[in-house]
Amino acid sequence: MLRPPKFMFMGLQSPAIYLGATDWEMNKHVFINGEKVEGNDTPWNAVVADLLIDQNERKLVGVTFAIRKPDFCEPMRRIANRLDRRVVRYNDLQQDSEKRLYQAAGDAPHIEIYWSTARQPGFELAQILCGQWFWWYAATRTENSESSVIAFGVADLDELLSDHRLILPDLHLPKLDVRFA
Amino acid sequence: MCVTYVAQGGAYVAIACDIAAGILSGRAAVQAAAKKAAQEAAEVAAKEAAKRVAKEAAEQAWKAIPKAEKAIVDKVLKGKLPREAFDKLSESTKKAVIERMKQTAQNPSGAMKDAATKLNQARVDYLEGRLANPPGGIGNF
Repeated sequence: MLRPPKFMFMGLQSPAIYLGATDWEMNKHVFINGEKVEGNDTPWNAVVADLLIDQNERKLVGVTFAIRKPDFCEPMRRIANRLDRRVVRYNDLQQDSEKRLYQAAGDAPHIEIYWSTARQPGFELAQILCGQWFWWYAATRTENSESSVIAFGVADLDELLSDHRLILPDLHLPKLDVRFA
Repeated sequence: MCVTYVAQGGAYVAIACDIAAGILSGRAAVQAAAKKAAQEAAEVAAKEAAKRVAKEAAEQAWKAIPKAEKAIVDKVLKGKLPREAFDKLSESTKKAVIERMKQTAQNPSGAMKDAATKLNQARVDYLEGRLANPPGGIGNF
């Protein structure tokens, strides 16, 4: 793709991606793999997200959310464990390399969403708001229940890449079935 | 002799009474101090509980905002929509947005917390009309 996509949906139950070339129409209903979904904040109200990058090639490989409320650490670990580990990771900063990665961000545990790997992992402060990104929950299930997390989506992706002088890596993932109605 | 004993006994009683009174007054002082400490602790706990309730209420209020309105807030803060688009949202939505942004501004950590605080405080200031221009992204801080 020559021009960067405008928005992205990343499946969290198994690695799959949907890239949108036009602006995402917020008022339309969204269906992922045939299931109606609702977009909202993280299950613990993070409000802002930061970026995971490959420092070597300035590639955007994922996003990360700090969990600042200790009460949410264990539930989020459980939620991360239910999702696909190739995509979602609960990082409690136990390893020195993980502490180094998050030196700039403090010592709170993080939930990381990856759509690619990084040869030289890096953290980049972005503080992007819920409103540009959403976690997507199954609309028919109880809000915030551990089984209701389906996907993650981010809009204005082209601007995000441009603002941070990043590029999107080549993504060799199956296509996520996303429909708008 | 007997009188002496009686007098001595009276003195002992008096001394004993003094000691008892001292103990009682000391006990009363300790009890008063303990009561005051308990009252202060209860006040601190009540304030903390009220703060926690307010924070949880703000979190729930934020969560209840429809995604299209959250997207409007994001666009206003990037300057893609005029501030009037935020002003048109319901009072409860505006209050919930500002409360969550304030909490976010007060809560950063790590080596880059200054930039994060400045950006998120600028978001609050812009939405509340104290800042003329939209804050945009972190690159401006």
